[in-house]
Amino acid sequence: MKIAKVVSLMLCIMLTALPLFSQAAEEKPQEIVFAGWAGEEANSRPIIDEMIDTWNAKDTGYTAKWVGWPWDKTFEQLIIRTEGGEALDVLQVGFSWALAMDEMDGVLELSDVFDKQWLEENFEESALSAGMIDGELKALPWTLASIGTLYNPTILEAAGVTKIPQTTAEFESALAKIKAYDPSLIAYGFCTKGTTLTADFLPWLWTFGGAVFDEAGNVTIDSAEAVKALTWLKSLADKGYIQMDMDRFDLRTIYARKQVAFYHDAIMAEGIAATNGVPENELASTIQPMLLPVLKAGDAPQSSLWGHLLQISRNTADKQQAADFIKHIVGEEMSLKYFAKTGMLPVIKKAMANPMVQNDEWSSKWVEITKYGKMSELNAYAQADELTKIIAEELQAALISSKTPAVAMKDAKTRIEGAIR
Amino acid sequence: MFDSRPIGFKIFFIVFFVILAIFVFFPLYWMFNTSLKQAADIFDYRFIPRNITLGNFVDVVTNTKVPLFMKNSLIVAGSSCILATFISAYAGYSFSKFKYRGRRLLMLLFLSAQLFPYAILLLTIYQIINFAGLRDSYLSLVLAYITFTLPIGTLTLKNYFDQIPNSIIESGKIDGAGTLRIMHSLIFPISLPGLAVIAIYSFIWAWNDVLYSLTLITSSEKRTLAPGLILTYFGEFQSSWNSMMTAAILVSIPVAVIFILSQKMFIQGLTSGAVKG
Repeated sequence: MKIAKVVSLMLCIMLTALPLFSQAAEEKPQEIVFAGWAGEEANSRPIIDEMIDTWNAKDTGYTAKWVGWPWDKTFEQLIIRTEGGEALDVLQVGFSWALAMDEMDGVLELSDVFDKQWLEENFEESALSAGMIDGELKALPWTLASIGTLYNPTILEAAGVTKIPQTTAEFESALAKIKAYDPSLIAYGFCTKGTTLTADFLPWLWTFGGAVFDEAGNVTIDSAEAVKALTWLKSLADKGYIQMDMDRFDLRTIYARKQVAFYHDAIMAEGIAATNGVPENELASTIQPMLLPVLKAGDAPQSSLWGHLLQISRNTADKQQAADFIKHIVGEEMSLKYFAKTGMLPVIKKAMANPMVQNDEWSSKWVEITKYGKMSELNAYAQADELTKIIAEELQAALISSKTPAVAMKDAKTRIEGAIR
Repeated sequence: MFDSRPIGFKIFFIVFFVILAIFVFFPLYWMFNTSLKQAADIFDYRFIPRNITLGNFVDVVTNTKVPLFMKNSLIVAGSSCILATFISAYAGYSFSKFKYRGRRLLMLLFLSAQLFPYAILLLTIYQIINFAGLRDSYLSLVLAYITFTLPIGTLTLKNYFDQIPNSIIESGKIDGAGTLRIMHSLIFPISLPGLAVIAIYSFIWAWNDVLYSLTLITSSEKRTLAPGLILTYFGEFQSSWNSMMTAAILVSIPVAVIFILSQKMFIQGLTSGAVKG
């Protein structure tokens, strides 16, 4: 009895005290919480700080604050906090997360908070389409650029590759020359592990005429075209042009050591190479972007669209302030500073037209690559991360010969159908 | 005794332990090896690095928040280790030596936290911490860590106390000692190895945690080591393995020292307890 009384007393004290703590939390000044990962990355942290500082210098009545996590933990944290009712306002999300955030009713429809005229004046329709979900604007693009193909001009020249390969046949011939020139080089830095394997595979799948889904939403990854694409990639691996057990991070480091002739990366590839040790004066001769080779002349060079989106959390206390904060960070001034500091292409029309962007040779080439950019078909599904893993596992099984390409693609189809059912 | 064994056994024994030692020490050596490399040499698989540099060590100590993360981890892991050990000891003693109604039910309640994956419990703990206004505080982490170490700690110590003869308690009572005095002066000193196991378990749990720390702590000033290191050295476009390995080595030194010193103390405590008995 005595114990029961003590336990009851403790529970009473706790229940009385808890609201006091929460009241104290509610008395904090009004805040706009900008959540994501950019503010945790070494190269973009200073500019995110500046975005927040310049906002706070304005007399809005709201203090902006950054809350961030590592890139690969951000999605998980956004879900936990949204479900937990935490007052987040502006969310930085990846393409594959936007739909999942919407499906859990975690974000607001943006047409309600941004007027149509402002959107039309500042964004191309194609850019806005990146944030459209079921005909509603659920995210605004912050930066958009395709995952491109990069080559080392010095290695190509030394290996006798005189022309940038434009077709798969030319590409394969270039790889053969590079391997003959120096067998220790990774001729083609195709990602062979992790989720980046799927990201590297999709543009080749499209190049060969395949697709993960058809227009009706049926899984078609086991099509003859898809099997052909994988068979071709496997042949490159069998010839030693592709090295197994490599992900994007590994390849970036090895590329900077000038041990990789071709690989795929985002627009910041040049800055990453510099961070990984390529001297400033050797960048141009070490890393250059190119279009992905096509199957036959005249085909459109494929690339997978990549970028960061901004959403407004359903937990926001003031959606209009959140929208104003987004206007602040995607605005011309901040976009250009973000571009200058990180190399991320702006989206807003005025910033895109700015000479700083227009006259930048690297960015201009990337705009050309992005022209053919295609949204990953997996992003149309809330299970995009799971589908990415399934495809990566099956591709890997084929590359290490534990399955034939046909069986791997068939298994991928079965597993994808199960995942989206 | 080893000398009298057949030569075949000796060879097998030595080879087995050499292989075991390689498994244990090679990853540690490779951490050290990587910490001495420059970024460009990370994938240069030489046993002795080509261009040895101590710059990574200087950088971690002077240019990063790693010392701050370490201080935070010591506060959180130290607090949860002390609290979890004390609470487990009292709870374990209660379940072991007292007979009262509802004891089994209470014991099951203690253990129920172990029935759920810790990632699932995070959702509930996060909401409680949020409701209590404790988010972004050391206390939130300490409470969360105790939640996970308490069941194992209580069960382990209950079993430990079960083995201690009740005659020791009776002799204490005959000498006029109260329950607390018996616990503190007789039982706990001879239970130091058990208490040490729980202390080490709860410390390591708190020291290694990423998920709870990332979720319950939002300001970089209060970040603990595991998420702090990830945030410092890994990102969407960065992966600084050499700095990460350097930081991992540096932060493991004080903890290793604490445990080496503590181990000596635990053995002394065990010996003195045995003499008293």
